[in-house]
Amino acid sequence: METWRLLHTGYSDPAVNMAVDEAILHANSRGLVPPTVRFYGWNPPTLSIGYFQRATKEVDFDALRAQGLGFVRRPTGGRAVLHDKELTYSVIVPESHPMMPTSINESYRILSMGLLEGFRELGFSAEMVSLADEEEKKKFETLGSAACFDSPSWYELVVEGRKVAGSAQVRQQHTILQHGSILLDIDVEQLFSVLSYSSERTRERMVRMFRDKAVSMKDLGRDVTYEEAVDGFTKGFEKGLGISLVPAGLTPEEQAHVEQLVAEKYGTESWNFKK
Amino acid sequence: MSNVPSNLKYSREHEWVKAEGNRVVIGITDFAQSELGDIVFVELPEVGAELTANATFGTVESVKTVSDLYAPVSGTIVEVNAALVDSPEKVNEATYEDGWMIVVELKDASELDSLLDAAAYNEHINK
Repeated sequence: METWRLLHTGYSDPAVNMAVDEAILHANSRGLVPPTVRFYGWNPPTLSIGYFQRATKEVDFDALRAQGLGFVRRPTGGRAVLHDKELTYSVIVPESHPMMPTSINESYRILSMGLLEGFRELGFSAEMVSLADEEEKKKFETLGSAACFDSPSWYELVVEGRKVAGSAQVRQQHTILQHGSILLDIDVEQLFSVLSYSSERTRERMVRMFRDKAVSMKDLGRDVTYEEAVDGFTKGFEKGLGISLVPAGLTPEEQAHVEQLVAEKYGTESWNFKK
Repeated sequence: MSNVPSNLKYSREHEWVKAEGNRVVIGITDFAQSELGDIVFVELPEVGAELTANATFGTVESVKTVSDLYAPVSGTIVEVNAALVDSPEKVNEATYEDGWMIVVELKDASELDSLLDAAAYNEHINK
């Protein structure tokens, strides 16, 4: 069985969190580290936006500051996510890895098997929904919402028809980085309080629609701790991907690259507000 | 089946290249746009930027992923399809026509020889 690296980086600030994912991608693309599964959390709780999202148009920065939330632009696509009571995962693997198919859909499906098995490990009857399927796509589509959990990425993990994990991908230097949020608990009001809407009514409607589409483990009646989730999803990724995960740290090169990326990219206004 | 016009050259990274004298027009292939799905953003360099073969020259975001674009040749960018900023869907609708991305003044025309012809690209995507 193939061995991948398992990284626990715990709770970090937003710039460090995104810098670590990118540093791993670079190291993996240069063949310096094996494919990696990483688990992490956020301190402070942070609003992240997709690579192409327009920060000043979609985010209410006064509200964000008043609530003491962090902010960062991700290297991946998709919409806004409020990272608070969640377990965040990332998977970094070469596009040319034997397990990775040419098809982007298929790569989502394979990597999401780790999530599926993780939820099952924790006792949830999760299912993977393909949004290539028109009917499913329709169910999850909404117009004009800036929030991630109510719009489709490609394979979604759902429990009782509602999305319980949301993922995004980037492909750089022939390497895939997929990361995403596994919802332990969610404060829907808070998420929408830091996004900009034309009116309060629109905001309220977005909150209602979101509640029909996203659900946390707590909403499903289970208090799962961060540690329990790490344990469950570690086993889930091993089983779902048919790999063995061996705990290790960042290499000194990766660590140095993280510091550089914080200073020059993820910690800078020119990156975070570039659009 | 993907559309692979026989008059174009192709990179293994799914860019098409149309030679016009010492200039080439570059876009992504029908196979690539279909794999990516609905393209929602295209980010391209400015006119005058230098391109190095196999290095990243831009980024596309589709509903599925954000992906690097890899330069099939080296040279200087002389034209950029600015329409893609507001209408990225042109890449899905007409990738070999209105969905073109950049025009490049070649630095070394012999680089074209290392690109794939239609038959070889077809084989590449169907392997």
